[in-house]
Amino acid sequence: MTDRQGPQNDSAASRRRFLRLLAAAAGLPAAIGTAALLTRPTPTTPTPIGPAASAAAGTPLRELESARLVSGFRGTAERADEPGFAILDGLGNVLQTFSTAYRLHGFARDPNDADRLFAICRRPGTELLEVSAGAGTIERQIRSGPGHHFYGHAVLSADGGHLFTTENDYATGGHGRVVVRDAQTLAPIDALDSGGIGPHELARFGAGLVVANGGIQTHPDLPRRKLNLDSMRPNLAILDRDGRVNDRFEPPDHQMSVRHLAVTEAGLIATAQQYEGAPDRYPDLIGLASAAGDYDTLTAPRRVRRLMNRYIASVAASAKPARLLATCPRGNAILAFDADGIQAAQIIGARAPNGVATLPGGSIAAVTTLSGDLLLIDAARARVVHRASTPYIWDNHLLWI
Amino acid sequence: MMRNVWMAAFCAATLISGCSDPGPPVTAAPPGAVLHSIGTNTAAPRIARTLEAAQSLHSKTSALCESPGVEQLESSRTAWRELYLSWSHQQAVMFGPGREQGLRRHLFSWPTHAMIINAVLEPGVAEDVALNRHVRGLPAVEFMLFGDQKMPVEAGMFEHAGRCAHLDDIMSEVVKRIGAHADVWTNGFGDGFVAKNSPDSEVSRLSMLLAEALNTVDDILWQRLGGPAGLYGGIVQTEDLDAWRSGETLAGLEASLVTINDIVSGAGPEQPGIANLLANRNSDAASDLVRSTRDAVAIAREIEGPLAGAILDRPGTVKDLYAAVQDVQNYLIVTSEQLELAVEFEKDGD
Repeated sequence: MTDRQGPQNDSAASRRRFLRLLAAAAGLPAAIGTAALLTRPTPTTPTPIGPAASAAAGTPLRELESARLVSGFRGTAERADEPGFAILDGLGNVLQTFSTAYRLHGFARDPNDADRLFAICRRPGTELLEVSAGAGTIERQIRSGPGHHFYGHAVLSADGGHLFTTENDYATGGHGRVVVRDAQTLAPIDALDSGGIGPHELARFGAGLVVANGGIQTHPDLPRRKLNLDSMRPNLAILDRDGRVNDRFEPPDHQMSVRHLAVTEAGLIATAQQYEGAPDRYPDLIGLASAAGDYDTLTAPRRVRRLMNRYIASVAASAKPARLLATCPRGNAILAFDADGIQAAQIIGARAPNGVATLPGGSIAAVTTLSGDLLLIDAARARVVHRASTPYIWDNHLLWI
Repeated sequence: MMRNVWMAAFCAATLISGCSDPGPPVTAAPPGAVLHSIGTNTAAPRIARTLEAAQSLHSKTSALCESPGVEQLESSRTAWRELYLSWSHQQAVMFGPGREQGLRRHLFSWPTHAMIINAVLEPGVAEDVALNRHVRGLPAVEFMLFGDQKMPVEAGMFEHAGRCAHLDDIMSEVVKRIGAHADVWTNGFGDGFVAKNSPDSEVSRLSMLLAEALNTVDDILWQRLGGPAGLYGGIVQTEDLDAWRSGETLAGLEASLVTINDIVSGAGPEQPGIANLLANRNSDAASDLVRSTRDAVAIAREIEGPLAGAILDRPGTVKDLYAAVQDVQNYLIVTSEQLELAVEFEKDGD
């Protein structure tokens, strides 16, 4: 049932124009100072859950204390509209917090320097921060080019030389772009066709990239308004090493917005969808693609589809065992399942789970919630093995750095 | 009209649970009329009624402590039920500055910590323990008035000075907090909410309204129904339900859904609701919204006996109710999008 399409022709002329536009107006990123935005660390209340807290699937939890995670928050229980981001250890202790004037979304880390992070604001924002986790400082802030806004996600090339960001080229009609930046200067050097409208999460895939094109057209003058729900055409696009759209997969329902993804160690791409169709429909929301060109929507039982409730926030892949975890904030559930099917998905009840990331060792996943918890999940048994309560309203996403 | 005929035929033919006749088309109404209707006919009377019920309960418990007897105990229990139902009716109209006072968190947060409450009733307990949120509010009063099978309550227990002192302390706080919330409405906010020339824009006021309806629905799904029923992969924990000791769980749920239905469809004839506003943009969506809230109320009413019993004995009917409320949630989310309100469902990160 998958509508699979061939490579899309690129328009060299429009691409050159776009690059000239960027080069003329973007300029060098502006430094905004360092420690001014740093706030004090906030106490955390850890709660080991049962005997599994000492060890799960071979990963002693105490070893996770040295892991570092980063996530944005939209505020705290007391001040719901004071956004920022925080660096936590693997047990959920908040180590550093940073206040920002806007909500952040995804994060990217430099493969050559785990202390160097990039934080991307939520759509339709135009800010991207470079952060030194080691120094606890925001090193600089850049803005997207004119006529562009970010879509909340970025990733670095394997060698750390380039930073790729998903962006809306609304000045030229809302084309989806993957803007390539020099990872040191952050100056834009290229703008690729993302393969669709509304590019959202992206990841390295083989020698190229994989991009989730949500399909929803937006414009910053109409923030958060979805402009093309009747005609939207989401897809998952594979970009080759030269940045050309090499393959593209469309979900069976054109209102199934492909937003987030995770690449497994076996080279599969799991996609997490958000449904924009009729409010009383509860369709399947997990897709699975392979480099060989297969793309299927995993068929879940009705109960699981109800828990997904038309909206999956994040998806992550664990390595040992090879499983997928998806967070369903509307349905108050975390789903753990194997890549060969979601029929036997295990369900973990949690109030409004949001970001998910697998931790060192590959057997434990961390999940943040809107109610302030960081949960550690034993991926094999689908059980919560540790809970830390914080005052933060954690936004979608979470990244192990 | 064609669509309505088709829907009715479909429902009759398939007998799908929860699928009902879509009813007559929803007439369109302007934003000002909808705000005035909901503020005047839905919000204001509910806020006033809850304060009256809180004052009445305090009066009854005071009488019980002054003269402990079966009649006084029953009278207090009746007053407790009235306050709980009034609150359940009011919850979805807790928008605006009143929401920040956190009435649910302070006064209506189940489950009850029975052992802790009992400990507080013992003489010599430190004052800071008695101030703990877990031993206060309507859940604590419910436990003290109704007890349960393990710890039954008798009128003679209110001869105990410690029990009455704590009860009076809690009830004073209940009346004070609910009164403070009512004051916000009566001292300006209510007038501003319904006024034509309000300093707050219509979009701002409608956003507050819809946000609180969504919060209430989410609260029902997680706290008051789905969580205790084990629908999130957990075990069934009926003792986590609101108001199970008094047997009012289901009535409270129904009351909250009725208020959401009134917000959507209006509290009576010629009283427009959110659906009438939506009808300006999308009449089919307006009809669907009306149908979803009406269905949820109807399914709640069909469940017989205490909700705890239904969860254990008839889980299918509880799942039907959950599904109906989930539909309401999704129609409200779509409504906020279609009306382009400045409200985002807080669970939607992006």
